[in-house]
Amino acid sequence: MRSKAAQLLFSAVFLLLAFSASAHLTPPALPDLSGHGPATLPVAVDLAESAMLAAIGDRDTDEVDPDIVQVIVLVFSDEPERGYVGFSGQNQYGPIWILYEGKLPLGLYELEVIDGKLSARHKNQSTWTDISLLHGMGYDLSSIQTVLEHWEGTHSDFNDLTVAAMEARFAPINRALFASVESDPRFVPGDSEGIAWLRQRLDDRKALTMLHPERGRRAYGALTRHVTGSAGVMAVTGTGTGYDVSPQAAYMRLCVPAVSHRRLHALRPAARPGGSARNVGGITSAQARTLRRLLAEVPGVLRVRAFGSRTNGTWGEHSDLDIILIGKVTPSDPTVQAKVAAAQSYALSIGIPLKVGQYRPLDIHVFASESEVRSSFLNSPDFDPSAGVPGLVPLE
Amino acid sequence: MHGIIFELDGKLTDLTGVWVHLQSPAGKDWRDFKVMVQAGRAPEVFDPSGMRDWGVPWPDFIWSQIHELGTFIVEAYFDAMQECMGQCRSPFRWVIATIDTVVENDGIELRGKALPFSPRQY
Repeated sequence: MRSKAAQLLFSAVFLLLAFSASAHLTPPALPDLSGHGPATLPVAVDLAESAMLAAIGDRDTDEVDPDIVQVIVLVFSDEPERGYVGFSGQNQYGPIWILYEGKLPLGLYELEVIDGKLSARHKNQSTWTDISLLHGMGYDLSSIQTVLEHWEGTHSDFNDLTVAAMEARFAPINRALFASVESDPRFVPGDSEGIAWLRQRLDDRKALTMLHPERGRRAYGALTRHVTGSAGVMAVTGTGTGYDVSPQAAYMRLCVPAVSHRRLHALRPAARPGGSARNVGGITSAQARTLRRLLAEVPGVLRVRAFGSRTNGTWGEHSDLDIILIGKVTPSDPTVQAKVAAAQSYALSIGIPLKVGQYRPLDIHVFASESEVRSSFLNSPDFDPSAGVPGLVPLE
Repeated sequence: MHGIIFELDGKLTDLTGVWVHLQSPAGKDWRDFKVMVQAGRAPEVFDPSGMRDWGVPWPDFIWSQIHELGTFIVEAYFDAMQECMGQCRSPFRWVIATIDTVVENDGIELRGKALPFSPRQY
């Protein structure tokens, strides 16, 4: 696996140099890949390609640029048994990054393709976890093209930026984000070594590859050469739902050479006052926590997620709150109904209104998994790629 | 027969792709729907756990659940109907937007408004 990766890497480096020369880009420093540094982070072209393929669906490999020279994975989590796996990579056109959602504890992970499946292993553990089905992507290249065209209208200079110019524009914020991530208590302390290694690598490359939990959820990237015919632009699109005007959102909007999904532009224009819920409009963070606790008490619920207008900045005073309970819930169970009724009553008490005078303030749906939500939308005959699927955000 | 009939604008329609998201249909491309559940199927669809007290009419029981639980319970009703008919709710094609009447005759009849599923709305 690794020898193959090394061969591919050599090819990729060669292509990197060749392309950089032909495109008159400033050749970025090549990463030092020997020994993979103190952290056990493998570097594998085929892994990156697998991740890309998994992210954008089953497509011809011709649509995925194989010249990826660096792959790094970080896992973030705000819940003990849950994490967001981020794959970040770098090729001659700029960074790539992909997020996966799955049940993995926090930490730095090693990646391998095992039995044809993308698998992850915490650097301190011996067990591999199949993460090939954990991706949370719901777009295709045509939607990327749509948002890219929108984005290029407002950031038209990006194609002309040299690597150095991109570095100058984004490196300070990249560093700041790293500092914030390092101080994040959610990181496993033992991973500080790996983080330092990663930062050094990114400093060397001056790559823009930092990810953030929740803020970056369901974001994904794909090289745009195939959709635009131009190099130097990296398309990243996220749902935007759940974003607010935060440093992380600003980072995504301003720093990643990327395009943002149109929902990202529906952000509320001003930061919410202190104490407001991060992902849900119109309630406080304490209220969001209480509501999440009440809903999490519903038997069978694994995760509580919000979506809809109150999470994407388009809500009004008459808006209800759309909830998805992920798990195996039996709605006819009297205990389940009592818990749901309690949550409904609480929602009403904090000012989330009844809908059209009779329905409850929470529109609660039950799905077995996030992927079921996505497939229900994606497979709809009226699915609109440019609108994507609803962003599911934690109730916080 | 499965004992369940679903009609949109008076036309027999299957339940595959019917989702529930209660909302005001004002200004939208709504259709009238009717779903009839035969009496023998009612417990399976509306009260699998046997919570309804004897003597409480089905419409009263159903309305009390809708008023207390909203979309959550109506979605459960339709999931149960779809299961009875060997159908499934996804991929979404129609959205049950309102429940306007619940009547008990030979069975339980729910009427309301449905909307074509539009992913952009969510």
